[in-house]
Amino acid sequence: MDDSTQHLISELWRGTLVLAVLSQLEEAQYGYSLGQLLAEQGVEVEQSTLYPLLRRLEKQGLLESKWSVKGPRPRRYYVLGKTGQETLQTLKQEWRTLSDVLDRLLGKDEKDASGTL
Amino acid sequence: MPVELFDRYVHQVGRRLPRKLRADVEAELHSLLMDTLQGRTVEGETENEAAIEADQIAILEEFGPPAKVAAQYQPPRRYVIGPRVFDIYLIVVAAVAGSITLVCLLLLALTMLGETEPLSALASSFGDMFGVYLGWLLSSFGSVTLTFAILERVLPEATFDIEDEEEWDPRTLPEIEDPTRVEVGGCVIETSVLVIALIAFNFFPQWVGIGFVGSIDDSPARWHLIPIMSPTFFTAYLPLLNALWILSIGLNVVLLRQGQWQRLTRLADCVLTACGAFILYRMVTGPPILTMQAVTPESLRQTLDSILPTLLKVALVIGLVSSIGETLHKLYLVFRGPSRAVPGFSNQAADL
Repeated sequence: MDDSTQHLISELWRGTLVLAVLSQLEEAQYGYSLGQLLAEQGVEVEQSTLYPLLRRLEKQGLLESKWSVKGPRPRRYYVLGKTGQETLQTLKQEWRTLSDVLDRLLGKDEKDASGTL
Repeated sequence: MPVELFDRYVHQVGRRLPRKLRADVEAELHSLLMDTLQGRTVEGETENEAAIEADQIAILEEFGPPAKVAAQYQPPRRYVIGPRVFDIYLIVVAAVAGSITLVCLLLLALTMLGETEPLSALASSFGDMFGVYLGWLLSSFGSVTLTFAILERVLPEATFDIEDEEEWDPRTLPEIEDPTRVEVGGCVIETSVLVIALIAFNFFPQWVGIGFVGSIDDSPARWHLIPIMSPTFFTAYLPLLNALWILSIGLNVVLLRQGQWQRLTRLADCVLTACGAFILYRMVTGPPILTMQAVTPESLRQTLDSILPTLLKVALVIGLVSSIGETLHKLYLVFRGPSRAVPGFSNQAADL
């Protein structure tokens, strides 16, 4: 795969990252546990991208965070705030619409390619 | 478990961030690095320092160079000089300031070479040259900053790329300088000098003067020591200096015992520096502190009388200006406060 294709794939994933992150924060998670959770479900995110993203989302009012000193070391936990929950619902609907549209487009392409139309 | 490499990494990220973000991001980043390390460390490996260091290096390589991580935490374009060019900017500013200093010193030296009385020439041109030096410094600093601010905004993202990840080696991270650590050597030297000054000025004032080996009035060459401090110095200034020196020695003793700067000792240091500036101001504006009455022969007295007071005044003014600057800097250090604001966080993370 050449570099430009790789870049396009990265961009595609990047566009879905906020939705993926928000979807996993209905329960509070700290940075590392969130990264693990996403990785287990097939979303590999660079750590240097994920942790600053959490702060940006918090600054936008979508997430709330607090330090917890329970456990072996202090950890910052993030969870969806009220605005974040509303945004997540909106993004989910948008994603389903987008997914349907793209499925139709890609399905049409596949049919074209197989000569069924 | 040794996590010093993480501390150095976190420090390098933090120093590139705005102060209000720094403590919180540093604490979280440290916690995340420790979590990642814990997730990777195989049971029973926690005692193997070489294996742990290898894990740390691998983790830091995945996180990427400190400048890159710091850039991710920055709000977009809210700075004059951004993290991708900041290191180069510092190098250029230091190089330009060094070059200007060198050029000014050379010009000063050339001024002296062309004169029959170099010391007098130095005294008279120093003030002018200092003004020129400051002007050049300020204007070049402004030009460099403006240039980098423009470069930051007009160059494509790829230009001046922060650091090639493939070339970045976490083992090259610089050591952390602890700003609260007391410099023992400096404290001991300063205390020794102050004790010597106290003894010399109070108990052996006749030793304070100009010493040289030579002949006076056709007598055989021998060691001469000519006292030059005026009676006013001993009555008007020495009591103030004694109080300042004794208090400074006391502060140094406290610092050496504590080993770390605290807010109270910083405040005391700031007050003492301000008192030093006040005494210097009195010396600059008050009665003369030197007298050449004991100097013989007459020709030498006249020469010294024409040079020394001027040189001393220049030195006192420089000392006064630098004392005022130092006082302001120390005042900033007093009110800057601790940078860690996260409960339970310390740079030395808990063991796995």
